[in-house]
Amino acid sequence: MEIISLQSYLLIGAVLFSFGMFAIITRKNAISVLLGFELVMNAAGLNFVAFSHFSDPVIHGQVFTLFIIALAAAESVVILALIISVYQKMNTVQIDEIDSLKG
Amino acid sequence: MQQNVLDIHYLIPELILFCTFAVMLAADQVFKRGRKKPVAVMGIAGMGLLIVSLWQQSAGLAETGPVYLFSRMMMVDPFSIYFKWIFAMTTMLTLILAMRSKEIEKQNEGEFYTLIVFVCLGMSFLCSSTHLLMIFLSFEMISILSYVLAGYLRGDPRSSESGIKYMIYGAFTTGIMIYGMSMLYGLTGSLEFHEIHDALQGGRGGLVPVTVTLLMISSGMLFKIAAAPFHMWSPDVYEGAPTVATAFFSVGPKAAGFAVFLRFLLTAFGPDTPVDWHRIIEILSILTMTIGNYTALRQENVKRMLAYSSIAQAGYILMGLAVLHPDGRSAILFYLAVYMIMNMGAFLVVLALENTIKSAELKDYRGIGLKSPLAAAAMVIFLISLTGLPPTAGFVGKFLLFKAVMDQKLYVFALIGVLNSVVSLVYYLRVVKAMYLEISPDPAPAEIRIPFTYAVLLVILIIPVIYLGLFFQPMYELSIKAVFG
Repeated sequence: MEIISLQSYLLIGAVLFSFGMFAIITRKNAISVLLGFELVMNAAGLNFVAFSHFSDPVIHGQVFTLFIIALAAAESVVILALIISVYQKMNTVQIDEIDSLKG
Repeated sequence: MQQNVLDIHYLIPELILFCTFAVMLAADQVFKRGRKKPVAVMGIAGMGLLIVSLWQQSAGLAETGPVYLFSRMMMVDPFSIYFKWIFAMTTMLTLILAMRSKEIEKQNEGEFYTLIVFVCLGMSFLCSSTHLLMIFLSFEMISILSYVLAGYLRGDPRSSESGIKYMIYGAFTTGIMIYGMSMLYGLTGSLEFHEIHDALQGGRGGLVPVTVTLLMISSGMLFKIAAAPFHMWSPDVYEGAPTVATAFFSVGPKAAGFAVFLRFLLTAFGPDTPVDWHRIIEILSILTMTIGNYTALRQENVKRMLAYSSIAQAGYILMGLAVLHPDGRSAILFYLAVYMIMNMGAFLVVLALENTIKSAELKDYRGIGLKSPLAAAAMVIFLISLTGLPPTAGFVGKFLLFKAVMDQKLYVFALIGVLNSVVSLVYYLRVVKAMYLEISPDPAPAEIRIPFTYAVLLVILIIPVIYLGLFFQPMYELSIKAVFG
């Protein structure tokens, strides 16, 4: 009685993952990088729920997703605080302009 | 459920850590600004208690054997206890360093001490986890707090920058790792290491998907141990972060990363699954040490140079993992303990000098040999040990690693390791040359005073570096016991 197959879920997960990775790698704005990170985390969460629903009699994967949601939120808080702290010092959140450390 | 409650007495070390953390957090609110030293003292006392309780636990474990806790979420065995010892010592040393650091004093120092202790809790969970969920949770516990510690100096743009760079690389690798975990769950239908191993041994998943998944999960762990190709963050973070935090990052989370990498590869994948992971590790190891050593050659900042040196050290330690023999593992454990002492020592010298000369540039180290004989002499000993020359502990550690590789007839691999050690001598000696043979153009501080605490700590750290170089047997037996149980 499954209307949507496992493959469809995995496909959406893979697309989300690729978009997220693309954002993390190419975007110069730190906030966009954070958004990309959220996409990647959600892609993994979606995969977990899908696998758990289709192939695991126990719901390990779904529990994992709950933790992913909570931790992604916690991580966003810290990352946003860091971005604010950088903005106050350097007046920019463009990653390519934050480059006083190199060598 | 009942079993879970009964298991809790195996968790006493972690509970002690958590109580220390809670007490410190409360104490931080009680003491006034600028008078937060007692908070750090509480942390140090807590670490002392932790070491004692680990001792008791290891004695009790000798009778029962390794124990699984909480429906096989984590495991208490000699291996994890050995690592918890390393973490407790690292945290203790870091707290002592932080107490006298001028960088930290300007900020709200109480929080810094508290966060360090909490990272230690995360690390001790990480080294005992046998479940992907547990790995993910403790991983994030370390990562998130590390970003905060790196960006701790609010007045310093370089510190904030290092925090944000740490976060970007961290988010990138954690994302790949967690996606890999979801794939591994899909391929094997389980999150627990032994079940994953059984499923993989039964040929589930197919060779290519499992290998790709392994690489994805490894990326997070390679990030933690700062190994190629995920090492790019470490020089920037090490240079910009407060020196105390740098000393901590270069030892604590790195050792935790190795602990979980060892356990994950050996338990979940093991030597008998179709994936040939030790070949991959061999290549990564060669890449890591070569990149680390050759880039360190042209560094002008000592903190940055030590960052590349610690990348190279991660490469040497990976050699032990590429060997599919328990000897390699015990060599890794021995080397990590020695590495903790010598690397903390080197950063302690950097920190002690930075408090006075406000710089970690190589050109400002000229003439230190006359201005501060103790610091310079200690630096020479730690650098000799990091190179791996006798009669220091670093020599024994490297000898055991190379011997484990030679025993498996991987002669080319061992040769590359030895050649890399020779290269590393060049940049370590540059520091020695600057300190003793070059004269500072600015004779202004005729003498650099280092705080009494640091002087005592330097002597305390020099003793094991020399002692273990001569009498390594007891320590070696300890590391063997940690591997074989």
